[in-house]
Amino acid sequence: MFKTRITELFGIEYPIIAGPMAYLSQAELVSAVSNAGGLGILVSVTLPTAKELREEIKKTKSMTDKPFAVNVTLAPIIRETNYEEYFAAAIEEGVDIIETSARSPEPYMKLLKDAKVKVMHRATRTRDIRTAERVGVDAVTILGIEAAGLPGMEDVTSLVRIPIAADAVKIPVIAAGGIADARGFVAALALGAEGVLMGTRFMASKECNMHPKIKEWLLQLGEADTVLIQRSIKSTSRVVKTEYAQKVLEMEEKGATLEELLPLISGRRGRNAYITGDVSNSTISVGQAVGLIHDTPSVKEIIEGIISEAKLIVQRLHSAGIGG
Amino acid sequence: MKTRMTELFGIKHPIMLAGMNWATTPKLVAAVSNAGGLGILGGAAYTPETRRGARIEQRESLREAIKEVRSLTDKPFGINVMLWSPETRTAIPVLLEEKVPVVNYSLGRPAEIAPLIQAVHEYGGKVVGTVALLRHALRSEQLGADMLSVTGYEAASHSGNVGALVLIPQVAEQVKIPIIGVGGYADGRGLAAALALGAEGIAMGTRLAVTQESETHEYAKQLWVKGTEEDTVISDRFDGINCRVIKSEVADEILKKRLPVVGAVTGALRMKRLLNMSFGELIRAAWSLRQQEERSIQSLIRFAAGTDLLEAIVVNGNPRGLLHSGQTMGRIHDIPTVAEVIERTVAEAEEILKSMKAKIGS
Repeated sequence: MFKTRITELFGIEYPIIAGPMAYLSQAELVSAVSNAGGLGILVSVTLPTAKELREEIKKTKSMTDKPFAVNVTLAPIIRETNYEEYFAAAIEEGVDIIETSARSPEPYMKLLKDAKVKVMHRATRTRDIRTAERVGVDAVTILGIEAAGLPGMEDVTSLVRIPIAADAVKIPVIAAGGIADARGFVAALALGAEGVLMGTRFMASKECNMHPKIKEWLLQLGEADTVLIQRSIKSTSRVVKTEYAQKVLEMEEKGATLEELLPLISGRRGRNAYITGDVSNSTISVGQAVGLIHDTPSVKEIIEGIISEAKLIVQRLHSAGIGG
Repeated sequence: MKTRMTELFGIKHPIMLAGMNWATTPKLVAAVSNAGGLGILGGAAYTPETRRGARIEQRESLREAIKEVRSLTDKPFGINVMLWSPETRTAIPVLLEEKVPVVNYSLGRPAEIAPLIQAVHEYGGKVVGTVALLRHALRSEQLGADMLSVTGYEAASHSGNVGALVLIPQVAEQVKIPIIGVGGYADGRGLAAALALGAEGIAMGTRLAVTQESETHEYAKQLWVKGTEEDTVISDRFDGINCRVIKSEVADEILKKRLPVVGAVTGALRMKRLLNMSFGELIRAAWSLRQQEERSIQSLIRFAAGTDLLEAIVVNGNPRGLLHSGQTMGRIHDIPTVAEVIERTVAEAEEILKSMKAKIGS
């Protein structure tokens, strides 16, 4: 048992959440995380319509009877999206935890609350999590600049973001960005978070549906092998520092327009890379925490490892006479 | 609170004062050491033997500053020396002659670090290396440093691009000597987090610059108190190295216009004077430095100009200066005494780890 307000809110065993990763956070990975006592989040932004979301939810439900969540990214992306349809699909299929991100969920809060859905919202700025609390979300995730997907324009790290977030809102705070193991987990809790959300750590897991060559490649990367792109279009993204990523950066520096950049940073390129194992024609999202990842265990081993090592860390400090 | 850091230096609490240039003075250094931490004086604000020029008549020499610290505390303390700049390297003979208990170097090359470590060890002193990259950490350990101060992206002034949450465990798992975190720490939550990440303590800069004993200008203290975590910006334009400062008009101008001409000329002349060069030698030096990637003469000149801008605001409260700050500024809302900062940091960290023990450690 490991009680925090996050485990109680979502009815899960451990306060460890797998962040939604484009194309990767589907039934296999999500159900594995929930079955291991954490909380998986299905990604919906890379499913073409609400119909596919319904199918993915059904598939996930066939693989776990534990709680899991669905992410709805409220970002103006390439295509027009009817968010109500996605919310309705999740609600009607019996999902009772929704994660929103990118924009305030305010316009949809009535819809979600009437359906008795628990809402968690992910943001990078203190003012955005305050807004989220005001409009009635149940928990917030604060994202540090170490993170992979959309870590914001302000460049503030988790070490600074987490305690400020914990002081800024009364609802429980989940920490994301830069966490991959028990050390980051205990640190996040010490800083005032009540749970952690990890992406990159779960990319390098057995259940993640990605070409093994990419998993192998990730293990060799160091903490300084990432770079922020898409700053010029105000949609910062952390990716592996490859030749391809450098090319995108150079185009940005030369003042490339959104239309010129979109074909290069399209998520479909990422999906192709995940399938073929060839990373030369796509950016690959990872967090700085990639430098802490040295193996590709099962999701269950990751989660149980973090919990048992967290105990060892606390015990080690205790036997050194700290926190006695 | 006992850790490998406190045992190494024989101090009470695992908290070091980051050796901020201009923002640390003998009074602040002694206050930190007297409160059970380790005070470090930023050496770059002092000339080795003489008062520096006409600009600040009252500024003492480094030797006088060391004597002053000694008159205020009998506890261990240290001096920071930025090996990057030929200007600041002139301090080294004084540190050695004065047998300063702790020498903290930063931004150095092996050829500069190795003899320094050897000389300090010869008189029984300890050496702390400040690093921001894993490979620099490994190199400093190999060269014989006693402890590493590992700088996260959050930090004021000079850092790499990696946040503490990733960098600290990464370095801790690969080096054997004790490491401490610097950048992003303002209270007990940060200390508890650093210990969990594998550090043996923390260094605080901005937090300790905003204290009663800090002799930084009131104008600077108010900027730090009012600023949020989003009000800093990092660039190599400010002083030639990746440097985090508070956003301001001056910072904006430098980011847009590159180096101010006046600063460039005075910076170049000062470098020439300090190194006792003729103009011919200056040009030859510029050429040879240009062959070396990291230290172009331009960035050295930029450094001299940047340090003037820092001095202007920290010492004189000139709004046209540049104030260095960590992102942790967003957590600083008061101006307590140094002892209060250190005691409440340690007490809060103890409390957090105790409740964590009750929750998960059994």
